[in-house]
Amino acid sequence: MTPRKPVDDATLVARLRAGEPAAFEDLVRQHHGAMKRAAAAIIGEAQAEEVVQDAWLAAIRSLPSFEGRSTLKTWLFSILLNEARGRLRKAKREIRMEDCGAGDEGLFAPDRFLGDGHWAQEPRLWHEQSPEALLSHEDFLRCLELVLDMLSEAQRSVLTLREYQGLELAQICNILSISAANVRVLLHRARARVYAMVDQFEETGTC
Amino acid sequence: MLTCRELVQTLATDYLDVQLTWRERAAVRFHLLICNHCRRFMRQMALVRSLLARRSEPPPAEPEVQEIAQRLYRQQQGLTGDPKNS
Repeated sequence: MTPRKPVDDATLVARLRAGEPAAFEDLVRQHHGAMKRAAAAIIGEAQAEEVVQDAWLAAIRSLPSFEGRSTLKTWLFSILLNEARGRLRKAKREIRMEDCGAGDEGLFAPDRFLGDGHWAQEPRLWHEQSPEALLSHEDFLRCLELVLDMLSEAQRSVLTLREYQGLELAQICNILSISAANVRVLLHRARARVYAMVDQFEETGTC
Repeated sequence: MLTCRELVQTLATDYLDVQLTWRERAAVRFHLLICNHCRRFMRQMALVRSLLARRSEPPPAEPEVQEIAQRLYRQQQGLTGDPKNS
């Protein structure tokens, strides 16, 4: 298959408005995967597909009013997030907060620090210092998927929306209907888990 | 004075999300200036974040793309097409 050229927004929108069938394929090919991941983070895997389908239909309906003030991606995601939030409210599905209580509060075991609050031993030096280098290891990708799977649903939701979708904390609170304090705790824990995995991988090459 | 433990265990990720008060933020900055262990830790945490941001999406399967695209195309034609011809 020949590599496809990245499609620029203005051209793509013009082709969509002109009703060119291939334009719809380009649109879906470019954004469907990311939309599904975002939807799954909010509403869970099971309903993600449906939410994304609804978002696509809503987007096509509003296409005549797309003014190009934001990128097509931002515009699509605002529609998607709206659909997902609506669905979440309707289902009265609650982000379970049971893991917001006491527990593994810190990133590191307390014995990583001395009584006076200094490091007992310095954080290990990491060999791979760039995300590209790490992400090029097949084993690392597997470990990353594994650790993300092991997060609680709520931790995975906020982590995905924050790091992958790049949403602000206030937006995450709004979409998931949880407090800012909870979002912060969930993010802190989720990052701590991923950090611990990367630290282990850097040391041993496995997780 | 902010300790390494406080920085790592409670303030680090809020610092990355710009959720600290200016006073806390200044304390973290000052601590990072004088503590190379914590500087290393913060660099590593920033790396963890960019890992997650760069995780790429597997492309959707081609039959799925075509099925959805056709549905969207039909809907758009129904909405904007001339009703006499549809």
